[in-house]
Amino acid sequence: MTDSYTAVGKSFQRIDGIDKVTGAAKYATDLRFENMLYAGLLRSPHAHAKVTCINTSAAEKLPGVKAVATIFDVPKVVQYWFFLRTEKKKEQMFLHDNIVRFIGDPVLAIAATSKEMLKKALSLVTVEYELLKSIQDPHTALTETKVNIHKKGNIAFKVNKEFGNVHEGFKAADIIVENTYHTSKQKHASLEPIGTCVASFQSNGKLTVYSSTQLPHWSQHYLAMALGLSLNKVRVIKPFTGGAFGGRCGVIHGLEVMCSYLSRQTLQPVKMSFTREEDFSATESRHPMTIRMKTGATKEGMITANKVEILSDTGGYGTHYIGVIADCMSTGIGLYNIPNYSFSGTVVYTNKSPCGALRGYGNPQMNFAQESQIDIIARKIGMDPMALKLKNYRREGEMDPVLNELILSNGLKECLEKGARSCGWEEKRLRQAGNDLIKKGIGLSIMLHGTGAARALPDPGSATIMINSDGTANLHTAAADEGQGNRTVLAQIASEILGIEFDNISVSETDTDITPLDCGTHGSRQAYCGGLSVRNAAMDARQKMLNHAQKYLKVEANQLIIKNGHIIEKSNPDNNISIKDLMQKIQIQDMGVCEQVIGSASGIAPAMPGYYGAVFAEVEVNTQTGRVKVIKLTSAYDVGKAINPDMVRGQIVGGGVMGIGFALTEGLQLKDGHILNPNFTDYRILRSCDIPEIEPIIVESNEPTGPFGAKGIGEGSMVNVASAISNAICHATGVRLTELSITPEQILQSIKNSR
Amino acid sequence: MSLQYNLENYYKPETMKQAVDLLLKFGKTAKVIAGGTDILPKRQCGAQFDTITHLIDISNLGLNYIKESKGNLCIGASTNINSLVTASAFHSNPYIGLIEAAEAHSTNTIRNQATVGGNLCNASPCADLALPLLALSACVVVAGPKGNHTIQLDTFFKGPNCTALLPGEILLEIIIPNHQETTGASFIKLRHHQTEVDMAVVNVATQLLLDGNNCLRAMIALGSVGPTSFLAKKAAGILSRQTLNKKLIEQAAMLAADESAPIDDNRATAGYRKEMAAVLVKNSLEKSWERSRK
Repeated sequence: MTDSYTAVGKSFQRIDGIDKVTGAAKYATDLRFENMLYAGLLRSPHAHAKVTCINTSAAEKLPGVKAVATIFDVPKVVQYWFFLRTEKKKEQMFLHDNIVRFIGDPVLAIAATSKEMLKKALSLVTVEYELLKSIQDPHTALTETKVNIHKKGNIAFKVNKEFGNVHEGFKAADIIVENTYHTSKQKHASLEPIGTCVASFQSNGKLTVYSSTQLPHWSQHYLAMALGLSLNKVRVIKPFTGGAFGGRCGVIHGLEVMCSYLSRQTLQPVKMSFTREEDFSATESRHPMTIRMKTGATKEGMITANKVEILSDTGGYGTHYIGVIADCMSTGIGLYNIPNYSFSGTVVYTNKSPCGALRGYGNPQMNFAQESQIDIIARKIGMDPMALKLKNYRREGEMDPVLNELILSNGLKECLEKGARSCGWEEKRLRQAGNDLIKKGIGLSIMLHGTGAARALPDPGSATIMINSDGTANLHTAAADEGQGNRTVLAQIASEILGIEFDNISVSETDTDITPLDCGTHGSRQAYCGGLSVRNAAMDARQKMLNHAQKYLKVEANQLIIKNGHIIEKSNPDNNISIKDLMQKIQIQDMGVCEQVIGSASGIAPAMPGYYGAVFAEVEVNTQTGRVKVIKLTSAYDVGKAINPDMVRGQIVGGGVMGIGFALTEGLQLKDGHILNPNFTDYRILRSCDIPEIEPIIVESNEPTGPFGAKGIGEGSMVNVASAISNAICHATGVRLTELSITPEQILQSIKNSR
Repeated sequence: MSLQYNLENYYKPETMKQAVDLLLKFGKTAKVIAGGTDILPKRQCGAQFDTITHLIDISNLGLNYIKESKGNLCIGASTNINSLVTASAFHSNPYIGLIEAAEAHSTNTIRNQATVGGNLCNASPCADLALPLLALSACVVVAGPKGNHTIQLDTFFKGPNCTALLPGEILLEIIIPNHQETTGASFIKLRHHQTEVDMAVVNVATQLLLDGNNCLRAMIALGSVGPTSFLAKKAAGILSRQTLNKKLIEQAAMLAADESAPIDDNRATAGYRKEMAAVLVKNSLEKSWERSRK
């Protein structure tokens, strides 16, 4: 079967590639409209304060100033789409008050006729603040009772779960390892800054918003609620987007809603674009976590218990904090079959820039702690870490206790074996570091990440396919492509099922007025969830084509197949009709029919299958300076089935780059709530010359619920990179680092302490 | 909210006098621009350069050259950094440190645009080119309302982004005196993990001129460990006229670290920088020593 695929498993060029490299592709920042106004935000210089008075009269007197919206007028969106489920929860999605909770929290927005006028107007606004005590440290937030960042206090969320009995588990252990890990406030650093939007309110009451969002339909819902509009009056269009990584996973603080308010006041298009500094300092980031972990194992290498306590810092506001801490739990427990597991998570507010979704969604933090623990245990009992992992990982056919689902595909063993062979794991692992100044090491880490969110969130997916009278097809999907190539992959799936050439399938723009409801792009879901919707819509269209063909080929539909653009009688291939001829007949020539074949599908995916991966990191550590250089990553991932292998490799390499950043170079630095590195000079994402060799290995375990066996890859490829690097540093130097990002100074200090 | 410069206030004078007059006319609101690789990104970042409303482009003033004059090597202020790498004049022992610094400065693209004069006038404490030029005892020629004069590079840097240039003055040329072929030189830049292109955490240039193992001249320049790039004179002093050995080099390295006054910032802590200053000075001196014997 595999060999007969015509579109699936082929590395087609991305359908928007030419437009992007020639500059024809329009991003949100490229958009200009007649009479368009420029909007910008005045942001709080204080980490925690009450806004007592806003004086805009001087600004409003300027000739080019058209509208002002303040936090007294406009609500903040502070929850994610999980809260769309009930009326009571919906109310909690919006916050309307006069408190600013981090430096950079929007206080008001102005729309003016030019950027120069806007700048002048913003400088003329005076705001009076009543300063409140700010809380920067998450541990202080836990204990502080006099200062409440939100009405309900400083604790945003708590979760406690126990599987088995950890007390008994530790009793059965021969060794117990206990450590506290800290992780950094990583930023998405997408090449297009997060936050550009043009809102255009027409006099007929319809709002059109162009926004570089990951979730066009949920943005439509948020905006409708915030502005009191019905959904048919809100149209969200997502132009080309320069990367997202979770940063566009919801309404962006102060952006779309403010813009829409200003446009409603003026009935002119209003554009707001955050600068890189605003992106870094006032949009969401990864939740920094303190993770205390106690792990027990027998000397034979059976892990008997794990006890996890997490303190997660969501900053001044939180949208995804529940999902993120829940993912720490599900990925941590799901990966290994540890019979006794206790998980407790607490999320607190602090007066720092807010946190949200970022590639991996809690998993990279959890994985760093848990994979460090496993590595320590392997060292202590003198076992190869790979053998220890193979002994304890949760296999195909076992139950996932958090999701309460059977694992139907798990290619982790193959990932480990192929990766180990390719990088020379055994030989390099045995190599002694020696007395050289520069020490070499190799480390390993594995991961599990869920595909989509079928068990966790409202997670609809839909698609429609229209077959044209010349046998080509138009696919309509709101599976927002942020640059990873979803639209290309979905066209391949449609092509495979319809028997229509890939080049003859067009994929729609992402526009809520023309594409059916889709949850958007998050949770590594589009090849799987989007793929299932497109597969089902294509199968619907295919069946309709076959039904129509019965009349002309004089055989039952179940005797027909589609091959190379033709509908063919299975047992008599000479009896056939091309799709083009059939569509001509039924749509135009046969005036008694005149029907277009339209396939559609909508619904939730049947599962959220885990995808797996193993990263082998090779490093050199300079013991004089503490400087680390990653020499090579060998990254093997089980993606079920690679619909487009080059794009899967692209995701693996991209995840590797982001993972190295998480381990070694990235992270926002704060002092008293001020972000010290809000630019690419001081916030170091890897430049192309910094990137080591990354060897992507694709493993295909064939997920039975997936389209052609596919599942996810997007997030997982970064999840276990930092832990692999930290384990490699330990292999090289013998020192264990427990804080991300790892600084040269920490390494040097740890080496000194170990002597 | 950041804005680009307004082009109405961009000037490209044809003569030095015009340039000086424009600078005098616009005073603190004017800035000289050559490659623009420091000025333009800073403008993007907002506040710091908000008061600058006039740019005086000096690229038409004929300051793009590398030449020999009276036994000295002269570099025009608007010569781009990559020109140093390709110039045959610097392909000999004493100038290896300068080439190493030029290559470490940034990406090829930036080095084709960024100028030697700009790197000095920006007066960043971590400027890469400043260090080998300090070690080479370079001086700079300055044009101004009262004519031209020369300043020793050692006294040119006054603080972060602050130089000895007075209102109306423009850097014309960098002059490097002649050095003996047997002089050993090196430049070392410590960057954060993994990065090939980044600002220095600590950077160091050294020079050694030896007669046998007897040190005739030692120069140690440090960057990123004080408000300006500077010569560690005490450290260099204990090497001069001494018989060089590993222990003495280590002592000099410790002394150089003592002369540094780093601060904590988002790149590293002061403590780490001080420690690394000693490591880098030691490594650089050893390299210069080895090179001097060739």
